[in-house]
Amino acid sequence: MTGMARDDRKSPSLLVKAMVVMTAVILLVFSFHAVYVYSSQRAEIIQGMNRDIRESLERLSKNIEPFMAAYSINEYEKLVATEVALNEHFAVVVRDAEMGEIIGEPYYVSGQVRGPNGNYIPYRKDNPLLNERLDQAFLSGTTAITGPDGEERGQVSVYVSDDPLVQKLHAVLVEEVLTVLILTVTLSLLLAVVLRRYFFGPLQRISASMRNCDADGIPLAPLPNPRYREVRVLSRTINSMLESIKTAKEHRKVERRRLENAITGTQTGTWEWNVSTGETVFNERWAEIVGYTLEELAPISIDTWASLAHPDDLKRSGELLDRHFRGELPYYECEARMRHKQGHWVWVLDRGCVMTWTNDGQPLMMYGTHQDISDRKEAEKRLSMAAGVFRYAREGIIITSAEGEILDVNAAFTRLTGYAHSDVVHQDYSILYSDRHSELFVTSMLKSLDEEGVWSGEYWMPCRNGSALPSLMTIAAVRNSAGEVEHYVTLVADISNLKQNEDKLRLIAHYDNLTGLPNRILLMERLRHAMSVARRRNELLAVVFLDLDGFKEINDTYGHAAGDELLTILADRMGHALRECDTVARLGGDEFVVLLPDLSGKGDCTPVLDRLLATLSAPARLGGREAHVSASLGVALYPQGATVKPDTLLRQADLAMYQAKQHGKNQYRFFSSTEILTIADALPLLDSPSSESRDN
Amino acid sequence: MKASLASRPSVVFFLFLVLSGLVFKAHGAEKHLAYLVPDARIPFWNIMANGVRHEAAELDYRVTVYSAENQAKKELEFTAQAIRDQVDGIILSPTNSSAAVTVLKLAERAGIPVVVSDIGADTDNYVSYIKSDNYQGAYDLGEILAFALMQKGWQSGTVGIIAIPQKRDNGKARTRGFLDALEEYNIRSAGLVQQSDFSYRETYDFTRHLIARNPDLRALWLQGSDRYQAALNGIADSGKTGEILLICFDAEPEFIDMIANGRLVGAGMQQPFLMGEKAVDTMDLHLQGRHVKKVQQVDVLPVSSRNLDQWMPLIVRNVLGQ
Repeated sequence: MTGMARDDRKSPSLLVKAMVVMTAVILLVFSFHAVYVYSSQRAEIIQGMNRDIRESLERLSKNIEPFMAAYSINEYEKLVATEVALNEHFAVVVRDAEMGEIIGEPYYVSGQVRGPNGNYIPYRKDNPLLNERLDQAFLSGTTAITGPDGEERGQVSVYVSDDPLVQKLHAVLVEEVLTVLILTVTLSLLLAVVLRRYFFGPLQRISASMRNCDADGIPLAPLPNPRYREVRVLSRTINSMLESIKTAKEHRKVERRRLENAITGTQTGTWEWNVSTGETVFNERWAEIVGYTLEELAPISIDTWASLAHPDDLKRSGELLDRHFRGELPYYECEARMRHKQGHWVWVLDRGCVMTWTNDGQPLMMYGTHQDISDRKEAEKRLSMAAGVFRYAREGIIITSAEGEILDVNAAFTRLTGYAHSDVVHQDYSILYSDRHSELFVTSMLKSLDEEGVWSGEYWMPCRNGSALPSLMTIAAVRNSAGEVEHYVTLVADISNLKQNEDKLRLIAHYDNLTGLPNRILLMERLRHAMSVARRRNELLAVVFLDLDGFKEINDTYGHAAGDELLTILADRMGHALRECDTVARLGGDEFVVLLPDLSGKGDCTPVLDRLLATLSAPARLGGREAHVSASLGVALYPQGATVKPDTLLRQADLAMYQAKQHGKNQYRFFSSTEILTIADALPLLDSPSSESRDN
Repeated sequence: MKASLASRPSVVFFLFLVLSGLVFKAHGAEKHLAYLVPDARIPFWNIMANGVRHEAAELDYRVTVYSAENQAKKELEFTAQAIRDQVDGIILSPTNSSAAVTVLKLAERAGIPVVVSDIGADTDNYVSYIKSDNYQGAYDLGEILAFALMQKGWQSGTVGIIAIPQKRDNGKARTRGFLDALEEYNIRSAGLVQQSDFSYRETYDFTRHLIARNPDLRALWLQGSDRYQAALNGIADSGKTGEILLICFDAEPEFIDMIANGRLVGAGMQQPFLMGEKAVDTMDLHLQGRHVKKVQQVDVLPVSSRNLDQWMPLIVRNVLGQ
């Protein structure tokens, strides 16, 4: 408070200032008034002087004339002297023509001229000094002196110096100056009294009340309410402001606490930088990010930052700062590495803004924060890697929201399916459901995802052209730290080649290489299937065992190649002779099995059996030669009374074929359990290699 | 100033003789003087002109007398003429003291010295001014009148004054000297009237007026001489002949007899002839480079029946110029 009082005493006084200003204003106003008065007075005086000259001339010409007529020179000279003295003219000169005639000159010239000492001197026209004096006259006038008859007797001239003008103006000036001074002093004193009593007094009481304040300068008590409205309004306004300040102060405290909490909570380092001096202030967290304490970093300056920053980042930081200083960037932001006390690099997000500028537009004070973004940078790194995987993986990747909306697909997906990115993004995942999969399949897949978070399996991925891509699909749920599903990632691996290979393998495993007919394995599957259908539909199934007659001779005669060619021809003929629903399979060598499903009775199969016998016995051309073979057919029917297995049916058909062979070949025979039982016991198993060799 | 009437004439006469005796040597050889006189037709001025001529002749000056006939224009023309004639000096008896100023100014510009005689000038740029001692002459007249009234036993009566214009120096001096004498002799004044046109009628009317307004009027003082008859007629017409005395300033030739027979109590007689001589003498001295007094006064002869015979020689020469 003492310091404040000392400052108050040093600071200029408003009263003094107001007095000085008002005094200056009063002086100025009255000075202008004085100038106006001076000018108007001057014009008026000059006008008066001219009027005096005219009046003097008129008076003199009138009064001189009789004396001039009477040659009373001295009398009119006395008149002139009187006129000059009374009116304080500078000079009066009379030119007497008649007297001039007497003395032999145009005029007898006489008059009075005021000398340098103020005394009047008789004018003599031959005195150059007096003539010079006349030339110094300020104003002059001349009029003719005429007699009653109008004849000019002479002239009279009146000269006026500027002395009266100067004297009167001097008097006016003195009067105005005195008036101005008196008014100025009076008004200033009056103003001082009024200001003191009605303005500064209340202000001083308000000021005294304001000095009684707390440590923050907020008055302890409300300011007094002065009597006069203007100051009362001021007092009330200040009180209102003080209330607002108190409220704002409380609010600021809260805000500050929040800010501090935010800084503390967000682990934010703060810095202040005087750009011109380099003086820098960090908070404890700033140092903590790089593993130091503020004491360890002391003395702190902008060089502290420079010494810890990565050289590459420091250079970029400088460039960004320059752009911010030039106004190209609204604020400064730079991710930079700082050397940790332990030697590793710490990523910080350095942000700031110049808040104060010098008058010439240079940055002065800059404030900013440091945030440790090492974890984020690491995450970004990982994300970048994932993005690389997403971008460059050969597998199609679909990112789906937890609600099933497709968020993104990678290029591999669009390449595999033919869909454009925009075709699927923001669409529901269900557009990728395939009708090749049952509802149960989908339900099972979703259940697996829900329970295990992952599902993997083959999936026919629909393609844009309507086809389906065989894929190995893996769907994984991505969960957040709370365990909630955030989105799903689907990997779609193209297994078209694999599928083709599988088909080939399947073909190899189930079909005969030479004829392309189903082999024993596939025959057995279809047999089981046909048995199941026949039993369910209560239909009749005929199993025909077929063995060529004379094939060994063809093989032996024309070679194995011709034999193979014959087998191929016959296999093709059988395909044409059979119904659509029938199956013909090659067991090996010249043995074939035909399945005739969907029969209503035993007689339904005889036409087919006849067509078989006919087509097989027809000649075949082998390399320009014609070959002839026939076939023996054994037929077993299903269902039978007891439970029969597929193998049993085949054995029954084989036994029946054997009977056909026995009975002269190129015929068919139905299995009869009583008839063939003895034979069957004597024969080896059908699939035994020894059986074929024996048959052949 | 108040020398006895018995001794005054002898002293004046003695001085006259001395002065006359001194002037015997010619100083004005080949020098030319001009005398500007208001009107030489008037006896007073003619006598003064004669005095000038006489003394100029005595001193061997050539003198030209210019009579302005009381016209200012002529006076100025003569002044210009004298200047053109390059006279060595001018004796000036101006038409009036104001006109004298212009004459003196013209002469001064021409470098011609001027001696003024009798009528003064409203300026002093002259060599010398020769004038009558009007105060003393009037005082002496006052004493003469007081003596006459005492002889009549009319001391309780009053005296009326018909004065020349009092703006003139000579008028003022005459009034003051006369009143001083009356006061000394405890004689009351009945008042003063000023002449303006110096006409007979004016003087007559003034006389009748004074008599009418002052029943105890016992004497009239006429400050001039030429209208004495109007005053006498006024007294007569007022029925106061023998009851009111008349006394005049200046002189007329008939005053000798009138004083002798008592019709006139007395007269203050100026000496124009002497003044003319004195003017020339003064000019002569000045032209010789000798100092002269700025103002020189010539006695006025207080003539009454008692000293008439005593003054007669001077009256004949200096007053009447005979």
